[in-house]
Amino acid sequence: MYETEERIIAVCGLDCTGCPLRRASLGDVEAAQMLVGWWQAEGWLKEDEGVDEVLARGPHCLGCRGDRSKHWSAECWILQCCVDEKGLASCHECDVFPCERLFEWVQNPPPGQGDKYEEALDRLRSMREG
Amino acid sequence: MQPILTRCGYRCDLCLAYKPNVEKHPENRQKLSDGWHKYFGFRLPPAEICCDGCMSEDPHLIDQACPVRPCVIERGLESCAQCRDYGGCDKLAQRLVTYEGVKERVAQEIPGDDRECFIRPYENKRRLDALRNSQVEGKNEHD
Repeated sequence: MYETEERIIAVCGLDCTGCPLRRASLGDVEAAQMLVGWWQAEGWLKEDEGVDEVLARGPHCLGCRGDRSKHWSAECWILQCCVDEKGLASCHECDVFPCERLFEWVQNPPPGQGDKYEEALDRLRSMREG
Repeated sequence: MQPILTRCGYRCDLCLAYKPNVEKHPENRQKLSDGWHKYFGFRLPPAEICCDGCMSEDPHLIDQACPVRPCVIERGLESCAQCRDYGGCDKLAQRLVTYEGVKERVAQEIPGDDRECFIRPYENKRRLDALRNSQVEGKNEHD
């Protein structure tokens, strides 16, 4: 329902459409290239490894409603709360939306990601308003 | 609607009093009159609740006593996040809102819907802090 060929919205409201992990999972070489530096810094790739290895190890993430073993953040609490415990397809469908935990999540984003998280809540809110 | 930030970091687009929102939902006036009273302790008549937002030219503003807007304009800045006196500013302190501060004042559980309608639009401290951090990161990249 929240996934089209053009656009995919995670259960938390984040927009997966342009995410390199998703795009690389679909075989996008440019997206795989974007992951190389990060993965090398994390030690997930050796110095002589690059795009080919990134692509070969995929798919990395097929979204919240896909195969959970192919989810980048399978342990995400929103994913577990929303999909596993409540059987919903998106956080905004919940009786207690927006809950205090969600606000906490929005307000404590990883460094440099602040806008995306507030955007996610804005998106959920517009989805709720319809 | 795209995010619209005031000089002090409020979000016009989320605010029930923002003119386009009032036009779409006239019931916002009464709802916000009650919400502001409950969570911030002041009461405005519903008829007065409609605001152009402080980034407009010559706007009709609800908060005509705001000390922040004239100061930011005088300094030629977009918002307080760009100001060298950001930390410890008395003017901004008069308009600074945190969820924790509101919760402490009302001393009760706040439903999520209420936080979304009456508090999040004005939670400017966290928003300005984040803006400042992103400016610092941007600056370092260029150094």
